[in-house]
Amino acid sequence: MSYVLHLLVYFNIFAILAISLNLVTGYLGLVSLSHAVFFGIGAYAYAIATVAWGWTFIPAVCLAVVLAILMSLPLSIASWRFRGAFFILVSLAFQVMCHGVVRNWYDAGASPGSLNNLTNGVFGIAAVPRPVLGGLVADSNAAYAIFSLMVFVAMALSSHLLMQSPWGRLLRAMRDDELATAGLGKPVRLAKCQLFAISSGMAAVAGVLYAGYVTFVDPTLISLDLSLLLLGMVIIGGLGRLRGAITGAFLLLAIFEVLQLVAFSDTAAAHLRMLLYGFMMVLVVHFRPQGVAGVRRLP
Amino acid sequence: MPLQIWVNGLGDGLSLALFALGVALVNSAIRVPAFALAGIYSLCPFFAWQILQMQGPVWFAMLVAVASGICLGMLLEWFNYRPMARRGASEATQILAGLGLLIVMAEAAALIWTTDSLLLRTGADRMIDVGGMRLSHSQILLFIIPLPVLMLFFLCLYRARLGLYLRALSDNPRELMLRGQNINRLRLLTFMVAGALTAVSALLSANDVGFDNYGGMPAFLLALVAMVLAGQNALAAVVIASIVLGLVRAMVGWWWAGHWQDVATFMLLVMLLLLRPDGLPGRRQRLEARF
Repeated sequence: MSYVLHLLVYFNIFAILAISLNLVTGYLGLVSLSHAVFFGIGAYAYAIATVAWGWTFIPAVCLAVVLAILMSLPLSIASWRFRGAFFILVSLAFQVMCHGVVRNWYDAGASPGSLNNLTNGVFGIAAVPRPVLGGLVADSNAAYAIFSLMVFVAMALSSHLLMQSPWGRLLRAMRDDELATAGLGKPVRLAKCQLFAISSGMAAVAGVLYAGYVTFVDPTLISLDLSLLLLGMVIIGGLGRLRGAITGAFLLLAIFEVLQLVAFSDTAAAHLRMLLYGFMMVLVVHFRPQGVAGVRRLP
Repeated sequence: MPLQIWVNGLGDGLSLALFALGVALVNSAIRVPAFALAGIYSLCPFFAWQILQMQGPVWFAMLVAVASGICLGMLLEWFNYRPMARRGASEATQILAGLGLLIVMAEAAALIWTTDSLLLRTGADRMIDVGGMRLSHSQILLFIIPLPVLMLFFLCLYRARLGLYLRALSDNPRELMLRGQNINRLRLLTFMVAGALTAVSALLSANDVGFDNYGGMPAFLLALVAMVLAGQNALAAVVIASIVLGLVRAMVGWWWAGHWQDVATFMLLVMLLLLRPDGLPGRRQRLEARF
């Protein structure tokens, strides 16, 4: 039962990430290879604020979200000018730069969280505290599963309501024909910045959940591999619909669990899982561009 | 900065130039960065290593690795890029398919062989003193092998009829098709040449600093930066851009720190994309020629 609850926590975290990436890729039509950056920033901000600076849960979460939103600005401004392959390259460059900074911001003589050693480099930051809300600590798997489920439901509902609103219709119009939408006098650039801000904020919340659950953060949270994994979830699950993102997160987590039933070693199972992800991405792109549960084809 | 650092950077740049040339060649034919080439870069050294492990001769191991690069290039074109081109797939779709194939190839190498870092050469590398600098045998190979390969490539590209068709393919494939040339065959040739160049570059790097199944992506990203620096469809400029990039990275390593090289490289990419997306040469061309 404890393992099932553990899986539920991971599903909630990755489903939030998939929903947030689906906003940018599915509704705006921009393929981003840097979504793990916002996830990692959220996790690191929460870890540094709580471990090094002694902040409580709510202020630390607010810091994580604000930082992620600020970091999304370069990408959203780049989206004004670039689309297609160029935007992918810009997001890739952004991803690699952020990963490099987090990985190398290290000084052996300084304590983690200080200016000289903000991220503690490859050693990461340990002993991240569990969330404490109104005196209640989510210190068991069951409590954390319920907490993360509540956050996931809130995020999914918010995303659904946003997309049903006039603002959501503006996004769909921009995706279908940005020039025509701008020609109608709609604030296209502002909408892009807003969308990236919301998407990165949601990813940061997922990062906070992850950091609070695993109680350890390291540069692998901001790796290109994780960005590719998240993109795979959204592509395989399907773009343009909430259920597509959730399906993608479920499928890719389920693959790993199914592989555990077969007599593979943990290492081999991890590589086989990634191989299957890559293979499914290629199959979806070639034979089912709308994904398993999506409605839109790839941009 | 000591001459040693310049020479180190030049050697790395020449090795990168081969891979960057392959990436640029494919990009000029299909108009999309082919991430799957990074998978070829990851896989080819493993084939050579396997032959060496079976006590095969070195020349045979290298031949098998280059042949595998050519075959993998062909397979990529046949089963991935050509079907997508036929149905008019978007840039993003082709990039995603390439990324998926890269993941498949890298993880297949991990499953079949290992994720450990390996080295093609056996034993310690011998050092030679050249004009006050110390160069290893592997570093000398970085100069000896790329130079004739590049010369042969450009000789064929600018003197042979097939080279003329490849240049025409990168310029205006529709016009070339209307003139009766088989575009599919030329695209296949492009991928085969790119596969060979990728394999040679990977082998040089594998012999110098080692290789692992995830080494393709970092090398591809550097090749991508060199291609953007040179301006797309400017093959000769890609070689110069690669050398410049090698020197810049060597300078960053000397003046700042080695682990900041990647950050500096991608800052350069972002600045290029923002300020000079057509590359430093900034070749002017008619708008119709872009399609």
